[in-house]
Amino acid sequence: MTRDRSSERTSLWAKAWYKFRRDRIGVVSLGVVALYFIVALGVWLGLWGQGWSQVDGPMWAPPGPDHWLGTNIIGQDIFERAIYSTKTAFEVGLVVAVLSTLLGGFFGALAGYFSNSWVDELILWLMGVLDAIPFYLFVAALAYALQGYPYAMHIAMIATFWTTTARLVRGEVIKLKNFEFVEAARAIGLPRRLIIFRHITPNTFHILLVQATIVFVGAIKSEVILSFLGLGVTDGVSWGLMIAESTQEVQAGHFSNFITASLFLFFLVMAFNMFADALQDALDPKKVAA
Amino acid sequence: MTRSGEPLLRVRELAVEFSTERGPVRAIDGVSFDVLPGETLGVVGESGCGKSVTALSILGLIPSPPGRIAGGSIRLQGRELVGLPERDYRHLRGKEVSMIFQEPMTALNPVLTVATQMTDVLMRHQGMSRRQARRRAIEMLELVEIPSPEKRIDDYPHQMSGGMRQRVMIAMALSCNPRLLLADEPTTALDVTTQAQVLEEMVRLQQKLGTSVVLVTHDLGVVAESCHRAVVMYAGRIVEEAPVEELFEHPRHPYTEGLLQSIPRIREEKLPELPTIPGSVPDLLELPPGCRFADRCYKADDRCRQQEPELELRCDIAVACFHPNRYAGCPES
Repeated sequence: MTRDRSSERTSLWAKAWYKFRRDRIGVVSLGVVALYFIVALGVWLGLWGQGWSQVDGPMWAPPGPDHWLGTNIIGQDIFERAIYSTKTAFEVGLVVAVLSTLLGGFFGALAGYFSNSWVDELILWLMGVLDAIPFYLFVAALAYALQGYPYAMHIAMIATFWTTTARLVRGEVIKLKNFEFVEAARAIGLPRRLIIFRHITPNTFHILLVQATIVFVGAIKSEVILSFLGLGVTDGVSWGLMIAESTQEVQAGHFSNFITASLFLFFLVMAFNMFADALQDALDPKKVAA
Repeated sequence: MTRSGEPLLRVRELAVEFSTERGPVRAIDGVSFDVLPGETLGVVGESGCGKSVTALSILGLIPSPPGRIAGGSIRLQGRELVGLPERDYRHLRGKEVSMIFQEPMTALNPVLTVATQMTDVLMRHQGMSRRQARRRAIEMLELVEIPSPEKRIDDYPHQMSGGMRQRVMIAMALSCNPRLLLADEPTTALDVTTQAQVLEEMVRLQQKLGTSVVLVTHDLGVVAESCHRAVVMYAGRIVEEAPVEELFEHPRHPYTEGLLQSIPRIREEKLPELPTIPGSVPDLLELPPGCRFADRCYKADDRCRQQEPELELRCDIAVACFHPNRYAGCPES
């Protein structure tokens, strides 16, 4: 699985990358996402955004050379806090996207391959139950059950977001398992484990990748809402917490905190959505193979 | 059977049933034949006569549900395969019995390289390391005459032509030296020149490796070129079995006769129109009580419509007909 794989894979990836590069909106949005990513990486490495919790100014200072975007209700630098929140957003987005995609791919493939058997029934039932619980109620219940555990929000999102991926993968696998190459794999005596996870699931890769980007955006947006409700981030700052703070400030006529957090969120979500769109087009197997 | 030697594959009274909304359908019913070591057996018939079902049931790959083997026996080197647990079957497939499929375009996995697909089989059945398996796979590709196999092995299927893919399929199916190869319409999806090449390749390898082949096809030309014996199927039953020359020279069963007449011949200019067999294949759910071919047969009489003829063997030729064509050289009753 390791050696000369890079050279083997070039043809498919090269074609997708070639198509992606010609999509101007895709390239620009990728640039924006990359910029956000670098900011988040810098925070993680301790290069900037470290003063997010310091109280080093007067309350509600206007934007200026000391505080580029002013200060909040207790005198913390809004720009620092927004920068630090980028890291929070990426952390939530990546963790939730990766884990829920793995989970969804795994259960979706199982359910699809064993469709109409008890395995499928069980997984469908589980997905139905999870989908039926209102999301915020579920998170609140989990947060309460886990009593201040900082990853309660992540767990809640993963537990609910994987179902969409699983449903998509299930459908695709049901289609794929009747293809001749699956029958051929069976005819040469490969065990089911190999057939499902090596021969069928890689064929759903385009779905998994696009679905992961969609979940990434969904997780960031949900984080903001959950933090606003006090159910989200507890050990840092996030755009959601900033917006929550600003409820009092807006009434007093100070909009900087609210606008900053909203714009940071807006540009990331917007860029990521456009990137996901372009990626979907570039990875469409029918167009790539041509 | 008068042919000498212990058969490699012995199929007896095999019946496969599919449940449908309108009730159970017997896709094949009472099929019996033998395949000797090193022999190529053609299975001929029109669409839906049960050719592919026969091949799939030998490999235990009948989709179940809705399908199931309703009776009969399949013995490979004396070992009963009907009712064999899936686990044991998996050790058999690819190693003892292998299969080539019709569509080379879809029978190879589009997201895996040829190397991955070929080495998987070898590593599993022959216990080879990845490196050994790769070397063996390259050898096999060389054997089926793929140019510069050490490079092409890292290709994805979409980088190859249809004929090349089918040759990769053949190489993959033969890589573990199976005793029996099932080929389900291996050349149907290819254009005529490629067809001939692939067929030639198969025959050559079959002779070289001593593999027995069951070749399922609707193309009588393919049978004439590559088979020793042929089985003609109609509506889920065998109607005639004979050595290929005999089948083509002296067709006993009226259906075989009709099939042969409906092949266009370039030499004969006189025929104003290509003869066809009138009517169509009966609905397997509403089979007539007598011979299944009776409604389309120019020889059919009352007996044919009431009683189903059994397959009867005389001088190495088996026919299921009350009024077979008779030829000199074989003392028939």
